[in-house]
Amino acid sequence: MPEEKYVPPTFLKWASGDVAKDYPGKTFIISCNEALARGAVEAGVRVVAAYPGSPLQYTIESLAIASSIYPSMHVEWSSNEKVAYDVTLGAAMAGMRAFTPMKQLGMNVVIDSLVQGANLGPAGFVLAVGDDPGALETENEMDTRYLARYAEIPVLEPTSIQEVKDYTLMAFELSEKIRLPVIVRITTGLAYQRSPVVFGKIHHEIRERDVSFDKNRRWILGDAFPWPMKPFGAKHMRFHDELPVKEWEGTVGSLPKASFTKEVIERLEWNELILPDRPVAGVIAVGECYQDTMEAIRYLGVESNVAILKLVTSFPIPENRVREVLKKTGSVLVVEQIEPFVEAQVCAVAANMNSHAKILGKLTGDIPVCNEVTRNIIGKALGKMLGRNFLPEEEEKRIEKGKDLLLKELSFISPPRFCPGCPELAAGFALKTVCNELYGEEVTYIGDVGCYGMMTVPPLNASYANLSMGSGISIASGIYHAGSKDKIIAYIGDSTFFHSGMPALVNAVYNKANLLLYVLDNRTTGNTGHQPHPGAFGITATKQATKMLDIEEIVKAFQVDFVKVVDPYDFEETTTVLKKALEVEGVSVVIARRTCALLAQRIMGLMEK
Amino acid sequence: MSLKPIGNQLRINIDACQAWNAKRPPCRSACPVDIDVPGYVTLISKGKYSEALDVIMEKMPFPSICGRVCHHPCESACIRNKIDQPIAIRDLKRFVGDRLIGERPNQEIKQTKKQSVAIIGSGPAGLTAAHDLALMGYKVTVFEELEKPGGMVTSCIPDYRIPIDIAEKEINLLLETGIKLRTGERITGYSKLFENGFQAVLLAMGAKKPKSINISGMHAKGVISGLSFLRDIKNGKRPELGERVIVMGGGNVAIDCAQSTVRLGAKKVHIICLEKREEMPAHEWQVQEALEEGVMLHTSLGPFRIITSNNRVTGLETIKCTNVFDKDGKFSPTFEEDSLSIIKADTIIIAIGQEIDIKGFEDIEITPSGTFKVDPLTLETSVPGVFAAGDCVSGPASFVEAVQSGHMVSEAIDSFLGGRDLKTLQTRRNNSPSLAEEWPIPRGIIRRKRQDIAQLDPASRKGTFKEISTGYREKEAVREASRCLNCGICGYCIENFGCIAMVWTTNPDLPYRVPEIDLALCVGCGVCGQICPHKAIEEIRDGG
Repeated sequence: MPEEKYVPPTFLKWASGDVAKDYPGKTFIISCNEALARGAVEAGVRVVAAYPGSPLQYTIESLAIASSIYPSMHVEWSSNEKVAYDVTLGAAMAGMRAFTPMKQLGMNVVIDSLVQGANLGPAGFVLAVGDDPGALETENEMDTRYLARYAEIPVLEPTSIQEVKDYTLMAFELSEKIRLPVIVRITTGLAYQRSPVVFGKIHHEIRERDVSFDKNRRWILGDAFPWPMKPFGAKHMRFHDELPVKEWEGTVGSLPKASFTKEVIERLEWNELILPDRPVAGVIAVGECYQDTMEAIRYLGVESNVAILKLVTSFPIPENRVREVLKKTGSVLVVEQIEPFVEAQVCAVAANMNSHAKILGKLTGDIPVCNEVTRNIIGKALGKMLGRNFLPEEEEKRIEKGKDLLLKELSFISPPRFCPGCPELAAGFALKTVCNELYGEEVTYIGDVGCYGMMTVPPLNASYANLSMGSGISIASGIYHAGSKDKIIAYIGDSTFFHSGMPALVNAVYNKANLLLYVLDNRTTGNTGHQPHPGAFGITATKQATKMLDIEEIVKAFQVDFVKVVDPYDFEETTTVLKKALEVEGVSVVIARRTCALLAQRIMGLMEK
Repeated sequence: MSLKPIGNQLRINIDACQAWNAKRPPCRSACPVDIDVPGYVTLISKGKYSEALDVIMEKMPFPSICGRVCHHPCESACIRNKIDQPIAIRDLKRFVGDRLIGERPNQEIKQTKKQSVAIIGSGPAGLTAAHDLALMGYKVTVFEELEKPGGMVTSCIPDYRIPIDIAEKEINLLLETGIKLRTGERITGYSKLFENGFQAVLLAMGAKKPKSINISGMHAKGVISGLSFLRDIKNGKRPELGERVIVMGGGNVAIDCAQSTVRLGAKKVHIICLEKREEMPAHEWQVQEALEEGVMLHTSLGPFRIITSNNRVTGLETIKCTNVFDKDGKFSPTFEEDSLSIIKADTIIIAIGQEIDIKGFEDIEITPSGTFKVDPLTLETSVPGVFAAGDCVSGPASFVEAVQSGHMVSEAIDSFLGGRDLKTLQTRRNNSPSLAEEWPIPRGIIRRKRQDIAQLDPASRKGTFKEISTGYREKEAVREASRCLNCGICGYCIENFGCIAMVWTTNPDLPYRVPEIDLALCVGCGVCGQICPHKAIEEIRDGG
C-alpha cells in the first residue's frame, strides 16, 4: 500500500477553473455548479463553506480552484452544513459577501441557525440549495421553499444556467438591499445541465473591501436590536410589519421592513410576464419548469394566445403580476417542482381578489405531486386545459408501456450494490458473520447515512434503519434504553462521525448505553465524490496542508471502554476483534479502516488511463 | 507506480470449488427415490412452486401423499442437524403438492410399445411401476383386489394422517395418464395372465395378512386385528370398542390403531410392546403424537394370556420382556418369570406385524421370512417374466421405499422386454458419493429454529378424524425453505458476500452454474479468498 495522498476528484466534468477567468462578456459552456460558483465569484464572494452533498458539491470544487487564483477568497469543506452556515453567516456579519451551497437535506441540518440567523440582518449572504424532484439522488423529495417560508427569507429559482449565474450574483445584491439571507433553489434537472453562459465582470473591489463588523450592535438570538431593548419575537414582527418601529427609531433604521422586501421583489424584472391581448389561458412556470413549459407551449403552437408568467421569486411571489394573469384569463396552470408551494400562494391571491379563474396544478391533480415534473407531464396538463391532445394516443400508450416495463421488469434487476473491493462491504460481512455466530437473529443493526446504507439490502441485510446524518448511534442507544435484549450495533462513517456522530457518541457514553459502534472509516467522503474531511488526508478544500484528526484518539478521549482499529481486508483479524468488542459491556468502538477502493485505485493511478 | 490495484486479483479454482458440488447433498443421498431435495427446497424459497413440483414429480409421483406419510430419512441426514434442526423437507413437499394439486399438468402418454404388462396390486410400488412403464410406452393394466386403488394409503392409513380425498385425487391424477385399472379382481396365479397376452407380470400386492400369536383367549369376542380395524374405519364404520382398549404391538400400525381408538371415544388406551422405547419400530413423532393424545405406553411388556369371561375379553395378563432380539439381532424374545400383571380391557387390538399372502402363487420360491425371492439385479422371481416389488419382497416397509422399489422394477421389466440394458442402469444408480458428514459448514450461519407447523391440539383431536397437521401456509413454507444451506450447490460467496465482481456463469463441463470472478471488476481486496469455505479462491500471482 503506497503512501496515501489527496487526489483531485475525477468529476471535473462538473467543476473547473473556468469560473475564475476574468473575461467579461465572453461566453463559456459551463455546468450549473460552475454557474453558481461563477455567480459567487462575480459577486466578489469572500467566504464559501459547505458540506459535500449532491448535486451541489461541485460548486465548492470549482470555487476551490478559483480561490487558488484569488487567494483572499476562503473556501472550505466544513464538518457539517450547520457549521458551514454559521461560518458564512459570520463572514456576512463581518460585512463580506458569503455563500454556502448545500443539498436539500443540508437545509434540515441548517434550520436552527437559519431561522434565527435571518433576523440578525446579515447582508450579502446567499444560500444555494439543491432540491431533488423524483428523489433521483437522495432518499426523499423535500421542498426547501417551505423551510424558507418558515425562516421567512426569499427564494429565487433561476430557469436556465445563464440565470443561475446572473441571479446568484444578483442574490447578493438583493440580500444587501433587504438585509436577509437569500436562497437560490436549484433542482436536479437543472443541476446537471450545461449551457453557454456569458460571463460578467468580477467585483474584485467587493471581495477586497475591509471588514466592517458592527460592534455597536448586539447580534443576539431573536433580535437585531441594541441591548437592552429586546422585544421577543422581533423577527416575526418585522416580517409582518408589526414592529412598533417608532419606539426604536434610529436604532432599527438599518433593517428594512418586510413590505420593502415585497416591493423590491414586485419591481424585479426577472419575473417576466408575457401577456397577449386575449389570452385563452395562463401559465405560471416556476424555475426549472419554465424551460419545459415553453417547450410544451411551442410544441402545441399556442405561444400567442397563452399568458406566460416566468416566476423566479417563488417566495414571496410578485402578487401584482399574478393578479394581472388572473384578471385576464379564465384558467391558470401553475407548474413547479415538488410541492404546490407557489400554487397555494396564487390561490390565496385569487381568493383575496375574488377572482373566478380556475387555478390548476398539483392541488387539482392536473400535475402529479410526486416525482419530477417533465415536459410531457406539463404538456398533458396544458393540453387538457386547452382541450387538445399533447401527444398522439399511440405515443401515450407507448410511454405508459415503457413505464410499466421499467417498474415491473427493470427496477429490481439492479438493487444498489457495493463497489467491488469495497472495504465497507468486507467490514459489514465480517460483522454479520460474527453476529450470526454469536447471537443468531438477536441483533439489531442501526445504520446511518453513507455507502453502508447498502447494508440494508440483500445479501448482507445487516442494517435495519437509516435515517439522518449521525442519528444511528442515538437511535441505537434509544433501542437499548427501551429494553431491547438484542445486541445492538450502530454504524457510522468517518465523515459522518465528524459531521454529527461525535455528540451522539458522547451522549451514548455519558448515558451508559450498551452498544457496539462500528466506524466504517474509508478515509474520505465516499458517497459524494471523495471530498476530504477532518479525519482524512490532512488537507483542506483548497489543498492546503492542515491537521489530521484521528478518530481513534477522539473516541479514546470520549472514555469509550473498548477501541480498536482493524483492517477489514483481514477477515480473521476483523472477526476476532469484533468478537472481543461485542463482549464488552458499555460502548465499544471498532474502527474498520481502509481507503475507499475507488479512491485507492485512483491513488494507484489505475484509473488515469 | 505499480499498475496493480490494491492487491493481486483473484480467481476461482473451479476444481476446488466444485469438489463438493460433484458430491450429492446428504438429503438427496438419503432419499430412497433420489429426489433433488435442495433443488425443490430452493425453488420453494424463491416462490417458484410449479417448478418445485416438477422437480419432485421427476422421482415421486405422489407429492401430497409422500409429503404426509414419508418417514423422511432426508431430514435425519440434513446438515442443519449439526447446527439446529433439519429443514422440514417432508412438509415442504406436502406444501407444493397440496397447493398445486388442482393444476398439475396432464402428462401426455403415447403408447409406443406393443408389449403389455400386468401389475397385481395398486399400492405405491404397483402404481409407481405402472406409471413408469406407461411413460416408457408400455400398455399397463393394474389389478386391484379391493374397490379402490392405493393399497394401504387408501385402505388403512387413517384419515387424520392422510385424508382420503387427497390420496384419491393424487392417485386418480396418476391413473389418468392412461393406465388401465381393474378393481375388485383378485388374481390367483400368473399363468392366466400370460395366456391373456401379457408379456410380463409384476407382483406388488404388499403385505396385508395380519400376523397372529398363539396365546390363550385369542378367539374371544373383543379380540380384533389391527389392519381390519383400520380398514373398517377407513370404510366409514365405527366399531364398538368399549371404554378400555389394549393395542398390542410397537409399530406404526399399532400406534395408528391406538390413535384411532382415542378418536372413537375410548377412555383408556394402552399400547403394549415387547421392545424398549428406543427399539420401537414406530416413528418417534408418531409415538409422541399418541402420547400427547393420552395413550398409555407400556414398553418391554409382552402378552401372556387374554383373560376372558363368557368368551368376552375382560383383560390381558402381561409379562415383562427382558430382551426382544438375540445377539445376532434375530427376533427371539426372553421374558422375566414371575412378573405377571393384569391390564383390564374391553377390546384387544392385535397389531404385531403383517406378512404376505401368497395364496395363488405358491409355486414361486419364497425366502425364509415368507416374502418372494427375487434376483437382486433383475428383480425377477423364480418364474421367468414374473417380477415382484414392494412389501411383498421386502416385508412391511415404508411408503417411499415402496415407490423406490416400483421405480427399480419398472426399469427391470423394461430391460426384460427389450428396453435399456439393466446393468448400465444399475451402475448409474447411486454412483456419485454423498458429501455427508465432512461438508465444511461455512461461518456465520444463523441458528434458526424450524418453522412450526400448525397442528390440531390434542384435546380437539378426540372424536374426529380430521388431519392432525394442517401443513405450512405460503409464508411459513418460504421461510422454512430459506433455511436450507444449499450444501448441494455452494454459492456462499455470491449469495452471502455479494461482491459484484463475483458472477454466476456456466461451464460447458458442468451441469450447473459456477461462480466466477470478473477480472474487469476485481480490485484484489482478497476478502472472498478468506471467506470461501472450500478455500477455492486463490490469488493470481505475477506471471501466473
